[in-house]
Amino acid sequence: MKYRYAIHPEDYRVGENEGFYTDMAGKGWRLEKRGQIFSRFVKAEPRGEVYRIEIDYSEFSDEKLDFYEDCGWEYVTRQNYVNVFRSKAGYEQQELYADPKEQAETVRRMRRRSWISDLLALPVLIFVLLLPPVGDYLPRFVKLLVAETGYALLLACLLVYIVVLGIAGAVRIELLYRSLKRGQPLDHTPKRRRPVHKVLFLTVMAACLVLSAAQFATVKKEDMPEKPDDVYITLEELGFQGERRVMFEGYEDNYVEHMWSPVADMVRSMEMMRLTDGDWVSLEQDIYDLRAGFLSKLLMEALMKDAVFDRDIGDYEELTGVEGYDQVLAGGMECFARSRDRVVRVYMMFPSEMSRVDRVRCFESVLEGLS
Amino acid sequence: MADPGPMTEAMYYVLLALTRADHGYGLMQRIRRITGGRVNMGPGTLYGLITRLLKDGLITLEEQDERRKTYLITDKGRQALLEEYRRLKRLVEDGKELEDEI
Repeated sequence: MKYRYAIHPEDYRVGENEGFYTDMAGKGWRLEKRGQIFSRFVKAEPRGEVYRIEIDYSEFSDEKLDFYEDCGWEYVTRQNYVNVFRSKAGYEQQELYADPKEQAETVRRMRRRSWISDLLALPVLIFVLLLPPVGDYLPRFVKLLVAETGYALLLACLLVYIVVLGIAGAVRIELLYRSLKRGQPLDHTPKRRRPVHKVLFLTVMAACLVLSAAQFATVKKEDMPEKPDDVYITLEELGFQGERRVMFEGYEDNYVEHMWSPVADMVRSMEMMRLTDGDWVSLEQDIYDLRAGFLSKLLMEALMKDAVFDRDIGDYEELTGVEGYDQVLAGGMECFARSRDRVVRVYMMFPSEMSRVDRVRCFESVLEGLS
Repeated sequence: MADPGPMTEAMYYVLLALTRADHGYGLMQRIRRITGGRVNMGPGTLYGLITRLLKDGLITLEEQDERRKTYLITDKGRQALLEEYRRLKRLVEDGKELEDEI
């Protein structure tokens, strides 16, 4: 059996869907199943079938289907509330609804549901998008955009598409309802619009997935070499003497991870050392070299929100003497810095006897070394 | 029971057509014939009407074979139809004067 899949018009474009299926049957593709976006057709002899759609949220009873069949309409498929019928060849059939006002009643429920879902969704969306101090969504989104651009764009496009589609759908349904209510019969063969936005949406989604996969494929994680091979600083360069070791079983080894995204190049390093006096020190660096400098402030904000210990800005001390940075904030074990096109997070586990002043100096040395 | 008020045209013709037992498609054809093609009722409209008339006890399921159901007007339905007929007749008679004037 030969099948073909094609994108059908949105549910609320009742006439366009009917015309679409009728045209396909004329070209030798008989509708078999209607999905969310695609319809499945099976190869058949071209035939002059007529298709009609009835909007009904409740499942059709066998009795009702038999009744329709008696009247010349064969039930084909159902998807959500869209019920598709076709006329039996050679059977003189009557329109499902001869009176547009009667048909308007079938659209009424779809209209109500559509507005309700939009009215419920919109305030939630406005809350999420316009009130970042409440939800911290913007910095978090920026972090996702920088580190996982493909995934972030996919989410953003999906959200925008759903919102636009929801509003456009509600307006279209309203117009359809009003026109039927006025007694204007449904146009069963309107000019079909090319599903440009659906193709565009699917293309963008596919591109985002490819980008996401490409980003994943370009992640390079390796053992930390003796001498640094990228922008990061080693403990040895900071003056610590000892042996690179892992403090506890199960800890990740000393490593360097290189990541790429269209927005930034990223390097993440993790180094742990047992000092000659038996104490321990560790250094973790996340370095983002941004291609979009305007994101640096938001990215730093996002990184600070995920800080290990100090999440309140009041826990941090502003370091003003570090050259090459617009802002440097140092907490107990973590330090964040940003310049026009670089954001850095440094996390250090210091030797137990190290003073606060020396700890701050350590952070400064890392940042100066990086710049 | 409260007076249901005037019938819709569709209801009137379904009851009128069901003074003889008929099934869905036959009913549709019959209404079209009675009205000289003026009233065309689709299966969507007709099914909704039949469900409502059955619920109100104005028609009944007369016969049912494997697939097809045949309906017939009940005494209550016949009474309602007759009342509607008389109401419509009165309306026409009341307007007759106008026709005479013209």
